[in-house]
Amino acid sequence: MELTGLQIFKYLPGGKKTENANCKQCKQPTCMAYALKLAKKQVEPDVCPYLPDELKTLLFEACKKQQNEIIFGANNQTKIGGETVMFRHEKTLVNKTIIAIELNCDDEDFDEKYFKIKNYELERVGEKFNIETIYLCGKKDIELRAKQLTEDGFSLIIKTENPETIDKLKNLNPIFETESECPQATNIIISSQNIDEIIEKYQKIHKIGHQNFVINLDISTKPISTIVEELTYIRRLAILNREESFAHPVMTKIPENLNHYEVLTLASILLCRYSNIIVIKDIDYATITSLLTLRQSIYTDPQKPLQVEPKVYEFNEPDENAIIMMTTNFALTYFAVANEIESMNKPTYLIVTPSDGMSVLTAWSADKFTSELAAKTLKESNLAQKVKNKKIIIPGLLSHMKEELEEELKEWEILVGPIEAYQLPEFVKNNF
Amino acid sequence: MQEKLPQLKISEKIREINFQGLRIGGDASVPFMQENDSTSKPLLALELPFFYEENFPLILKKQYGENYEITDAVKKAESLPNDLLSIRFNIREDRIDKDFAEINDKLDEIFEITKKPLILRGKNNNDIDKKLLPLLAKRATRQCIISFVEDTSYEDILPSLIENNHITVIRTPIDINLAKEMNILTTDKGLDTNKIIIDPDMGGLGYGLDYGFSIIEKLKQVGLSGDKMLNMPIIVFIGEESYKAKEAKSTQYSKAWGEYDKRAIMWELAGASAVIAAGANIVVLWSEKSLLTLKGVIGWN
Repeated sequence: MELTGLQIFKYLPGGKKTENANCKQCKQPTCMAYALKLAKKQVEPDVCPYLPDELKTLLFEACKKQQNEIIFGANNQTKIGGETVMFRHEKTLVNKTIIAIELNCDDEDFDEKYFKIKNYELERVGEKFNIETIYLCGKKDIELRAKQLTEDGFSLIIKTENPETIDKLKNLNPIFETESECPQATNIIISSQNIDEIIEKYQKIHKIGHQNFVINLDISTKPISTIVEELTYIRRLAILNREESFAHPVMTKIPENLNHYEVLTLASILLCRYSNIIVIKDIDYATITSLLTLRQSIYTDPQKPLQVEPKVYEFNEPDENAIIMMTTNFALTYFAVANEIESMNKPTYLIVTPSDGMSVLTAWSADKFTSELAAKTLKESNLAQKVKNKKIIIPGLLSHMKEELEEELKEWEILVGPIEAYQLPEFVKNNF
Repeated sequence: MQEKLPQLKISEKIREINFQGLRIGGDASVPFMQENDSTSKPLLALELPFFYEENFPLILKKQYGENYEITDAVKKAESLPNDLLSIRFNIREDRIDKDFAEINDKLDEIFEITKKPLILRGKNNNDIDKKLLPLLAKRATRQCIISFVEDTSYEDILPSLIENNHITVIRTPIDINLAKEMNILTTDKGLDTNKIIIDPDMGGLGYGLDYGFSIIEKLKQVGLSGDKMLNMPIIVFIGEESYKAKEAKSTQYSKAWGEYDKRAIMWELAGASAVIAAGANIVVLWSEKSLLTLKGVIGWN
């Protein structure tokens, strides 16, 4: 926790009202002024001769990183770690959990699998889904392949025991999983069976001069309760206790003997409960899509709903016979509606109101979707001059606003649309 | 190291409801943590529709087979590993009277067939539920969980639930203050605080799951810190929410989205796993495959 000026002030002679209060040896007019500047790190702690040891410890603790951020990869860089809270409602989570797929150089189907990884791409609610990171192991042509993968834009976690390979690939800025010696500047994995082993290994490797670590917690033979328990304790030791040994991102590998459904279930829990990297052996598109959708949800900023720009969106080249619809600018609402309109293949204008990213009913109850606002948005859109049919479809959830809207928009006919977006095609079929 | 592990300080456990041999709630920490002697485990329910509907997602049509019949489905569920059985009385709006009659006919048989602890669910339509839920409350031959009442329906529904000693699910839309308000209003009407389960009315995967996820985490924090009007167990109807999603319904997605049959199950599984990780005490599923998978994974305990 950062210390506030007031918290610091309480430890100073001025705050304790003791001897040497406001002595000005720190060149500040009062202890309070010094405390405020110290909180903002504009002055040094050692210029005050009366700073108690207790406060020194607190200040030292406060400037320790909770969880280090690791940036790896060369062509495309991937960031992990840097988290500051235990729960997403406290403060937005910093870096998304990385889903890494394992590729073994000694596998016969290496190329086939790599092709599948490379070809995975889709877009959901404005976010591009793809695989960013590959966990590369095995021996055959590993150096050549690592370079190719990097060139293709992947960041890498490389498992190797060959010091030459490490030396040749260190420029790709990967994370190395190895028991062999590594140059000090590289990102290196601490593999451990349990919490105690992390401390032991960290202290050993840290002494040699390494700085950038990722903890690899073995979960292979553990029940889910033990797995979540260990991950939770590691995160607490990092975030709440600021224990140096644990101030690193955590990687877990999904065990091999699971089917795709079990992989997804375990990975979903790991994603919600503190794993910064999840390594999956298989590339199964349904698993990855479900998992990345979950990640999209968990890593949205809880203070800022996903929203789209409020404006008139055009679909399928609208002309004077186009259909007109209206909804709010909550991203999920917009994309649900937009998806349907696209699939209907009918020229359509979609008016999106400036409703602070709220969904239809929320916006209505918060006065962010009123008949005045709807009228204003429609007027600004100039659609009245562009279309012949003066009909506008409003969300089914706002059926009670029909009369109010008719009052406000006298030249328009108000059609109450369906409640769910997926019912739109049928509604349009029956009404146009 | 054991002695240095940072422990969660709590003032009070989440209320524990002893229901038909199950312990619902009683959490003394966040999920899966055993500190503070927490023994709470998430419970899984399988939910069956009373009536077959033509617009069910393909994956569920496959699961239900041809000629769906609720009594057969209940029989089948007896051999599945679900902790609870939930029946959704999905009365169809164009044939309300007929459907009511059919429910009346088959209700006794259903209570007879199943030995599982039961959740009885309304239509999610106030007008129908005001008639339906009191009927179910009266006809049930044992204590059930009845879902749900909300601010616009509790006054009509609650008296029969209290009178017949059932557990009440109270639904409030993802808002901690509204949840508290409804808990106070219903207990003022005579509902026992130990017979309330909170339904945070959350969205499924990809459709607002994040809000629900955080509301569950917050409810647990506030409950564990001693708020006696918010420390009730939580239920999530993740099946219903998951199968509203286009991703779980439509076969019209490109290859990258994965095979439909798998994705449609995984859509529910990912959502269910997340709410279990957040702290839901009962998770109500629609897919048997998700039930079996989850039972396997969280049963590694």
